[in-house]
Amino acid sequence: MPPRRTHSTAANPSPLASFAAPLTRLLAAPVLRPFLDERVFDFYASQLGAQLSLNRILARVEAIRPEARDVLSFVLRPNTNWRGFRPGQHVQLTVEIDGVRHTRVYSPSNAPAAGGTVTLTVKRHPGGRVSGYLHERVAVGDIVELSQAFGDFVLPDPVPAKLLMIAGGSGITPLMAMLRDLLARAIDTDIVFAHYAHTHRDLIFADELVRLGKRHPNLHLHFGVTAASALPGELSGRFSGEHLDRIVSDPAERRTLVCGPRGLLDTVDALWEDRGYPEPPCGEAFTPAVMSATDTPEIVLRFARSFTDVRGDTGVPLLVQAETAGLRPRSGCRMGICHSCTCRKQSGAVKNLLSGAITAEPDEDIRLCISVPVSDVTLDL
Amino acid sequence: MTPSLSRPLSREEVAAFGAQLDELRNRILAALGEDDARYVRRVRDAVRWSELGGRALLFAGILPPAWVLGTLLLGLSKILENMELGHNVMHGQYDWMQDPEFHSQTYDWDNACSAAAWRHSHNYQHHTFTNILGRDRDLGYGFLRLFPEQPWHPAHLLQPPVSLLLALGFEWGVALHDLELERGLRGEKSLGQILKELPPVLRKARRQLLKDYAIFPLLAGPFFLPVLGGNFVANVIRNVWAFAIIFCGHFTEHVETFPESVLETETRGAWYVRQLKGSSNLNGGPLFHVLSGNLGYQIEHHLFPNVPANRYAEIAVEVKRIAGEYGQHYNTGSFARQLGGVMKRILRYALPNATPARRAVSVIAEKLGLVHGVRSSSLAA
Repeated sequence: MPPRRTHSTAANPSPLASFAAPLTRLLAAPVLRPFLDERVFDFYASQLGAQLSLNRILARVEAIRPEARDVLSFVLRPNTNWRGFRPGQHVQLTVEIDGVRHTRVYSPSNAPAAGGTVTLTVKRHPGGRVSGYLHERVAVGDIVELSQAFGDFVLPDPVPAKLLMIAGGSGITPLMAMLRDLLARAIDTDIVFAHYAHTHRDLIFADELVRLGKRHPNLHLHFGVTAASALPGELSGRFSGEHLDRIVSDPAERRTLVCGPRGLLDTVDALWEDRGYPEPPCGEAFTPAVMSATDTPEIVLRFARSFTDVRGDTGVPLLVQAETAGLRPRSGCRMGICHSCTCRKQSGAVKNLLSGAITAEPDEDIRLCISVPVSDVTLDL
Repeated sequence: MTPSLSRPLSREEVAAFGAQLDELRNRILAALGEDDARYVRRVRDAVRWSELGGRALLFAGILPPAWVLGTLLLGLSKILENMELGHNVMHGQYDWMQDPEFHSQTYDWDNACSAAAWRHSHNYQHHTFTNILGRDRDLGYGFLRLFPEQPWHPAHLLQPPVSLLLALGFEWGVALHDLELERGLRGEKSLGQILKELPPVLRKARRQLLKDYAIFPLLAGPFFLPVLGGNFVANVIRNVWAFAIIFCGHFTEHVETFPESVLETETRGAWYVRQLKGSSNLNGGPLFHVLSGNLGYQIEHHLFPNVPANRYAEIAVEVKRIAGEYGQHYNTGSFARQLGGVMKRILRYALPNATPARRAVSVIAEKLGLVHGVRSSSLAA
C-alpha cells in the first residue's frame, strides 16, 4: 500500500470542474428537472469533476489528523449540494468497501462557520468495518458521500446564560461542535465542560480543550478518567453526584447537555430526578455500531413508519410477521427471488434463511420474505 | 405434453439436486465484491458513452455514414442498457452493493415498460411460475400459441405475422403485458381495473416517446428528421434483438411446460427442476453473452435470478455438471438452432394439434421405427 497522504497538496479543483459547477446548477433548475434522469446526469457530471452531482453530497477529504489513541479527524469539503449543519446534529457518512456501500452516522465536531468544511472525528472500534476502513484506507483527496445534517440535539436558542456539558468518550463530538461554535461566536455563556474517557490517551481534543480553556475565561474544563489513575485536579471514575458537586455549585440553574454511552445518560437522568432539578438534562446516547444476535427469544419488531411495535418471533420471516401485525408490505414470490418485498432495515440483526448468514448492518436493504429477526429489529415500514 | 429428455427424479433426488444448487448459489453470493461492482459500473460506462456517441453522430445524421453509425451505436447502447444493465439491476442482482444507482427498487430503464410493471410481470410472475400453463403469462404473452398444451383458436393462424410485429415493437408488447388485456377480453379482469392500471403505463410511454421522438429531434434543430428516424430504427434494432434472445429462453424445441397442479406440492428442489426444464441456453462468445444480458445463460438466470449475471458463465459449468449427474437435459444450442426451434413452434402451433388421423399416422411411424418415442414429461412425485 502506498503511503497515505494526510495533508492536502493541491486543493484547487480542475478548471473543467469550476466551469461545470454553474452548469450543474443551471441544469438542476426546477423547469428542467422532469427531463433529467439523475443517474444519467450524475454520470456525465462525474466525468467533469469527481464531486459534481445533481443532488448527492460528495465530499473530498481535505485533511486527516490524529486526535487521541485510535481517533482520527477527517476534514471534509462537501460540494454545493450541502446545506450546512447546526452544531450537535449528525450526518450519515457513506463509503464503499469491497463493492458494498456502508453508512454510519457521525456528529461533526467542528463549528459550522469554519469555511464550509465538515470535520468528522472517528474512533476506531475493534472489528469495526467502517471505522477500520476510514482509519486504514481513506486518504486525502478521496471522495466520500454525506447526507444532509439532521437531528434535534442542538444548542438551545437563545443560548442559556449557564451551560453544563458532559461528554463521555467519542460522545464529545457534538458537544465539541457546540463549544467551538459558542467560542467562535464570542458568546459569553458560562460553560462547565466535563470530558470523560478510559485513560488520558483516550481523551479526544484534550490539547485543544486546554488551549481553549486558557484563552476563554468563561470555559471551565474538567477531565475525568474511568480506567486509569487521575492526576491531581481531575475526576476519577465514572460520572457521579460527587463529581457534579465538585465541578458546579449551581447545577439547578444550568442547562445540561450530555452525550456519551447509554450508562452515562442514565446516571445523569437518575441524578437529576433524584435531586429534583427543574430543568431535565438534554442528552444523546450513541448507539453501538453493531447490534448482535440475542439469545433470548424476547425480541421487539418496530415498524417505524407505521409507529407499530410488536413482539417478534425469531422463527418466522419478517414478511409474515409484518402481515400478522396488520401491515401490507409489497411482496411477490415469497421465496427470495423477486425482490418485491425489499425493505430498508434501520437497525437490528436478521438471518437470511437461504444462506444462513446473519447481518447486523444499520440501514441495509433486506428481503422480508427470507429474513428472520435474531435481535430487536426496526424496519422502514 | 412436450416429451421430456430428462429422467424422472425421486423425491430424495429432487431434494439433493436442490441442495447442491443452494450450496452453489451461497458460494457465489459469499464471494461477491469489488470485481462484481466494477463489472456493473463498466457496463454502465459502456451504456453511457455509446449513447452519447450514438446521439452525437445522429446530430450529424445529415451525412449518411454518420446516420448509419449513430443509429447502430444508439441501438447497441439501448440493447446493453436494457439487457445487461436494466434487466439485471431490476432483478436485484446488484442490490447487495446498497448503491441506489444499481438498486432494483429505484432503477428505471430506457424502455417503454415501466420498471414497476416489469418487476411485477417478469420478476415475480414469470420467474416464480416459469412455464406453468395458466400462471406464467410469458408463455405466449397471452396471445401466441407455442405449445400443444395451449388451446388452439382460429386467431392463432395469424400468429406468424403477429410475431413479426411483436418483434418489431417488442418494448410496446412488454409495456402492455402487465395490464393483462387478454384476461380483460376473456372477462376475467374488469375494464375498470384495467383503466385503473393504465395511467402509469401511459406516463412511462409518454416519457419514452417524448425523449426519442420530440426532445432529442428538437435539440437537433434542422436535423430533426434524421435524428427522429435514427432513434426509431435504434429502438427497432433493440426490439428485434431482445425478442429473439427472450424467445430463445423458453420457447425452443425441448423446453417443457407444466400444469398448474405442480404448485400444490412443489418443493424448493422441484422448483429448481422446473426452472431447468423450462429454460434453454444459447452458446456464444463473451461479447454475445454481454449483448444478450447473459440471457444466453437462461438456465442459470432462472435458477438464480438475483445472482449477478457476470457470474453466470462460471456457474454454468457447475450447473451443467450437476444436471448431468441427475440425468437432466441441459438445453443448449447455437443461437441459430435455438431460434430455428422457436420459429418452428410459432409456425407449427399456429395450426391445431394433430387430428386422430394424423395421430394414427405418427403412431404407425413410431412402430415402424421411423421416429423414436420419448417419455412424456412428468415432474417426479
